[in-house]
Amino acid sequence: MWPKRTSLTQTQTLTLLLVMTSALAARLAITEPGTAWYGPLLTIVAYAVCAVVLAVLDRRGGWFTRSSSGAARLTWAGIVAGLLLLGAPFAESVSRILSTTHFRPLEQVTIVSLTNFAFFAVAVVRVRRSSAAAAGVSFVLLLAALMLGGHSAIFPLSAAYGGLCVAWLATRHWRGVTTATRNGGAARYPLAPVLGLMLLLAGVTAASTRLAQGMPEIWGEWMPSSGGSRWLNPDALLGVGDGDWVVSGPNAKSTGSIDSDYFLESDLPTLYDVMMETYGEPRLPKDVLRAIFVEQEQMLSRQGHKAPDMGTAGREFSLYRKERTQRQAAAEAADALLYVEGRVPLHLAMTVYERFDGVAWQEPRERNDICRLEAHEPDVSWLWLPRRENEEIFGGTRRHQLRFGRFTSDRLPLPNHMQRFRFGRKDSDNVKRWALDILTWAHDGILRARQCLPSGTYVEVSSHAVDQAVLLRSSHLVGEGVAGDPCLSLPDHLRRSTEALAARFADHPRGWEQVEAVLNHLRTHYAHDRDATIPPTCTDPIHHFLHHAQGGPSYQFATAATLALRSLGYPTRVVSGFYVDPADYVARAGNTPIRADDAHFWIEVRTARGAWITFDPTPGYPTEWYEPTWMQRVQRVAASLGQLLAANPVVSVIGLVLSIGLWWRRLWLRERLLTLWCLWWPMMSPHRRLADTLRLLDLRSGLYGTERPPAKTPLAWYGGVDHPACRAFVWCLYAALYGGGRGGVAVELSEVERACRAAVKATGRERLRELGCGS
Amino acid sequence: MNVNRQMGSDVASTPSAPGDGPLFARVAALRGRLNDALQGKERVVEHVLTGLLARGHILLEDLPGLGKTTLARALADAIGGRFARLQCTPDLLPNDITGFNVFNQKLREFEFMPGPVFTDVLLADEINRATPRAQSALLEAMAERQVTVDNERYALSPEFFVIATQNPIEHHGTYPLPEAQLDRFALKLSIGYPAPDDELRILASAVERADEGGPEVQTDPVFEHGDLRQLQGRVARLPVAAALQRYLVELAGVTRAEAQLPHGLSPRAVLIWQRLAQARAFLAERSFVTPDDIQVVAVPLISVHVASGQATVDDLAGHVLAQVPVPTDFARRAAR
Repeated sequence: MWPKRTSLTQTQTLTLLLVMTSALAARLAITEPGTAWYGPLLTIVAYAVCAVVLAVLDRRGGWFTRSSSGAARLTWAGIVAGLLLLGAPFAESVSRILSTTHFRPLEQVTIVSLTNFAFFAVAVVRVRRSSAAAAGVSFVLLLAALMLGGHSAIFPLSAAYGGLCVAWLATRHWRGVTTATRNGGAARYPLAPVLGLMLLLAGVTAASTRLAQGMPEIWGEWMPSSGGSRWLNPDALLGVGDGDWVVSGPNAKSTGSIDSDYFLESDLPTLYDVMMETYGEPRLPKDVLRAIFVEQEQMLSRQGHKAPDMGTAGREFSLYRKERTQRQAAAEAADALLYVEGRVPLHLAMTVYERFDGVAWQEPRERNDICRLEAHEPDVSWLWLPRRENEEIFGGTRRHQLRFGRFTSDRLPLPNHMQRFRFGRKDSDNVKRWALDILTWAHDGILRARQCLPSGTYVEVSSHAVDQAVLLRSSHLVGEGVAGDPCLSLPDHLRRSTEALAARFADHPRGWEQVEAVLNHLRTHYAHDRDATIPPTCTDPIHHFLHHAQGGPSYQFATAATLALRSLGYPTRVVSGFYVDPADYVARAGNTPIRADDAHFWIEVRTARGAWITFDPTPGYPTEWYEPTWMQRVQRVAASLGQLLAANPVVSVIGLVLSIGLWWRRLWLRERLLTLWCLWWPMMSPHRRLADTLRLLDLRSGLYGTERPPAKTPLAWYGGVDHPACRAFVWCLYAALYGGGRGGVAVELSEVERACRAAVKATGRERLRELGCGS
Repeated sequence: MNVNRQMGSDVASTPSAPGDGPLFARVAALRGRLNDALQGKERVVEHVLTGLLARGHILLEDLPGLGKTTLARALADAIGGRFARLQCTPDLLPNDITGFNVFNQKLREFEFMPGPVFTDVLLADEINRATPRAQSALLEAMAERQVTVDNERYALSPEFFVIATQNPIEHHGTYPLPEAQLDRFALKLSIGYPAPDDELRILASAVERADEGGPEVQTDPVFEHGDLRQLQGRVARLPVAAALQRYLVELAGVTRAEAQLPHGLSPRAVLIWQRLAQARAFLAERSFVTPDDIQVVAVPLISVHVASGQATVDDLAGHVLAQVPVPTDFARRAAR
């Protein structure tokens, strides 16, 4: 019976639990404070699934552990070394998928490698002492987790680990005892003492949890390089990588040792770097600064590979082109207006336009309202904007960091649906007060400073991202126009040409899909041409764009889209600002520079609750919709399932009770079904019939008495049943199984039928109850 | 519990080859004779018969006076062959076992005087009292059924069968059998004390026989000439399912991987195991081998091949058997 063969042994299960507990603790210890807890958990569960699959494969096929030759040992050593060395990058990529934490330091890589090894050792339990090795490594992992400190779940996990250790040792010991005693199979596992010991251990651990809160500090004293993590101990310092935190953190007086060798060589920002004036600049790697000696001939030959100069006569061009190097990109980036870190593409709005007279757009009058911003505990460095009410279309928040370069406008280019922001990493009350002094609202969602922000100013913005899927579903949120709304005004002489465009989409149902259909038409039928201009003789630029040029710069697209949407009744406005193009991303600096030619025009459509949704009609300029993580997708499916169940409470409750009951009595149910199958299903080969009947007998013996161990022969087990039918059945089974060879025993179907039926009827609860007690 | 015989008696339609009837009758008679000689020890007798039909030599290890020699003598008498007895002592020489060349003054040439191994049943009594040198003289005889004396090869009887006895409790002046010697044996059995009822019956029958004034035991042979050879050939041809052969190989693999054992089963031992299982099936008058046949000979086989001298050999054999599931899957059998 293969389910029996392939499931894990008791020791293996316990070892797996041990390793899972300690690996989870270690994983939690090395994650960043505040990271979602389910990331590490899912990683560990994925590991465990892999280990179980590996174990099942190993038990079925014995791929790894059946041979003991020298070559096999060498392969073993290779596998283990590979797990320890190469496992870490794999695990890191897994954890990057699951959570956004990045980690590299040596102790974390070591922990990941040890985790890999431990799970592998659990899987290949046939190898001698592999489970002991797994348990030992798990202990090391737990110690590491406790030393690195941090997460509050580590202490309950270590308590659970202690309990599991007791069970593990008891099981190992018990297995030895069973092997050594003559009738070990009949004796019982000492469940009560083991449970009692585990409870005692859990109690002691729980009682000392208060003491244990201070344990990272104690261990930190033992380990000179470790100060614990700041999550539990706010004053802990690691020495390296503390710069940002020390400057921006609430406790500015804390200091750390900064004159170690590691500090001088590390690429990570340190306290020392904070005092450098280049702090926060894109870091140039050291090898770029080194002079490169190039022979003159090579330099000459490279000069021929420039792009052709079109301005001179006698032109020539080479098929070689030099790639745009990172250095060139960095040099080009050096004079950028703005540097954006975070997810791109992104639209940074600076100005809105509402009124249009057929030729020119007009910005509405500035409001110059004072910003009403609030700071909330615990992190008072953030300034929160007043909350808005249309949160159902928001999928989640995104965070961007803007660093100002040669930016000379007084408007702040900020993403739409801003939630909160702060100035600088080194935020303090002074900066905040200064910010409140100089900031006013220019328009709805557009901030204006009383003076230009100095170069190097650092703004961190958190904003809501609109979930496109939710938006397309919620057509009731489309804004309605009111009379005199400037966002619906349309010059009369333009009405005809734009209504002709809008008439194409009149049969679409009113809603965001109709908006998207209009924009898609523009994106697919018109070409973007940055440098196109309207000829001076043309009197109607929109008509020229729509019917003659069939393309143009982004403001033409924005204008046409706005007019078409206004004629369909959507309150729309044109927005100008910067488009952050993913193609400009500079990998070494980790940011995207914005230059003057990134200026761009797009549109915004108002919802019923007054929020403005960004749309971009220009082809090649995607909008920054929210991308749900797969965790959120799973949650959405679960939520819709929950809604379905909540809609039919009676059916749900009945189904739940029924499924719990069936799960509770699943063996019984399986036995009943198999009995019906064996007694009443007519057409079967003798082999099938015999195999099913044996499975039924095994199931029943497990249900009523003791299940036949796989190493016991059917005769030794069912020969003891006090009924001749059983023995006749075993005889038929044996004849079919082992007598089928050369000169074999022919088994008649009718005989098999008779024997199987008789055996099924003869092995009732009473007859099977005593089975297995004596052997 | 002798499951095979129970099963054989239960199932009326036991299939067997057509010409096997008289053979079965003779085996039954032999069994009866041995049970008469050694009362109340059906299990041991069954193992001895298994060893005989499988052409596997038997090592009897037990205290003095439990009937080792009686059993061996009764077997030799019943199968009607030549019987020789070798009382092993420390001064026994190899030539005392194999035979030696003597110079015949009359014929002016060397003449071979065959030793006690030129027989059908050889009882090597107290074999661990012989020196290793003398013990190894038996090696070739047991494994290849031939002896070599002065570069001259002499074939032994094809039915040549050794029952050796040894005493486990005395250590003075004994030489434990080397692994090479042990591997030539098929089974190691111990007879053990009889049950009180059987002992009473032994006492009563001794008085009865003394009254009758007859011989102590019957000595007329049960087998005719060539019967044993025919039986052994029949057993060797008994089919074994491929799944069971794989089962045997897996069991051997477990003994090789087992940490408690110094070494695992040799391929020769696996071969002997299969032959023993065949003999067991034949004794149960069955025409194919079942896993029960394999399991029932596991203890005496493992005790001589891998666990010699270990006290917990029963547990060890049970442990080895518990590691490998019995092949009861049709699909699995068909797939491979």
